[in-house]
Amino acid sequence: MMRKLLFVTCVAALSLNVPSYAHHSDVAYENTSIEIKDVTFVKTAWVNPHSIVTFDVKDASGKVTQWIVEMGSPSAMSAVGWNRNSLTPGAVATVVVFPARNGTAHGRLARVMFPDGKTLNYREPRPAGGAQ
Amino acid sequence: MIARAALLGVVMSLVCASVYAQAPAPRRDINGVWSGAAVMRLEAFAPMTPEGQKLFDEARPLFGPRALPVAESNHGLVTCDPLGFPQNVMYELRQMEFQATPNKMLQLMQYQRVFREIWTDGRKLPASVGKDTADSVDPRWYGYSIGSWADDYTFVIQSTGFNEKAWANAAGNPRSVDAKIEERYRRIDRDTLELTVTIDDPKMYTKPFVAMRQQLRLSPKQEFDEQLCVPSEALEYLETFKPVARPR
Repeated sequence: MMRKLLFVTCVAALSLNVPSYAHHSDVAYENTSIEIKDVTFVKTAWVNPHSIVTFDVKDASGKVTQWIVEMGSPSAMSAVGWNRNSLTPGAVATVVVFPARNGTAHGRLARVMFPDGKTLNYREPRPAGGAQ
Repeated sequence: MIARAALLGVVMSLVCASVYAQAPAPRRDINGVWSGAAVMRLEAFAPMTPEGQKLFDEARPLFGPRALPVAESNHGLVTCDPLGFPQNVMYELRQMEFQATPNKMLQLMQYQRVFREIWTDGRKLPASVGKDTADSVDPRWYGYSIGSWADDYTFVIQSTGFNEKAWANAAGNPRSVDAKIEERYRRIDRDTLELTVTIDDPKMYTKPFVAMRQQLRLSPKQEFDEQLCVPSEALEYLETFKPVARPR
């Protein structure tokens, strides 16, 4: 039993040494991440090649911008603790994304932080100012 | 943070290696599900011939130093075309399985749930593929493959007869119909399979070269995820993320 437990621990630890790559490149996105507070999720498409989440962001004047952000494939997301119901429509959270280089409201998701303290990670954020 | 994680990884690697170094590989057995990575680390490809360079220049890949946004790429992946061989062992090799049968080795790939037949019944590779003669067989996405044991722990696969629709890797390197590609799967111990891919393709490259040398790990769960490229979903994804490819 102990040996089996150690085997599982070793495989899990060694798998962390394998670089995690997306199915498609990140060339369209900035290398640094931004944090967007109080987004409201609209829908999630749990599909290949990459899952897609849509959320609304309201600015100080009340204007709403809809963002479309890609995540990983369902199998890649499942491997790090996500499922198809992780982001429910209507839920409010803070998100960290790597935004599109051309300034459109698109991006690649890094992290979601809910008001109750629960956090879902997909990628390590990389804010322009240093470690987050 | 990254340095600490790397140090932990190195320490765990040493601990695990010391614990499991004694777990021996079974003789003439590579059956089971093996785990790799979405993008395997490749060796430097050999210099290309003028024809190889021309095809390379026409490729607009999603990966590597020439990577483009999905809407600008002509990688077959964008429309769920088959990856073909050897791209399917150099890219999206998150999991694959070997199962030996009496007359062939089956290689089952998690990505797209495709399989290769590697004949072990003593047959030869086709002498002519894609030529204008009656006895010439058709080029294929995954080519034609035969396999045999080089020793008790090394299974060697020889393949040829590829169509020129697929690339050799995700970076857009070409392959020709007459390419001779060797895979050596060496089971180092119970949990480790070392894969070496050698490409000999004089039409595209100036010399034979080792394209990849990587280790796969025996998967603890021995079960595939469903990882499919679905054309309707891929087209929707392409349409959704077209705007990120355009200057605003």
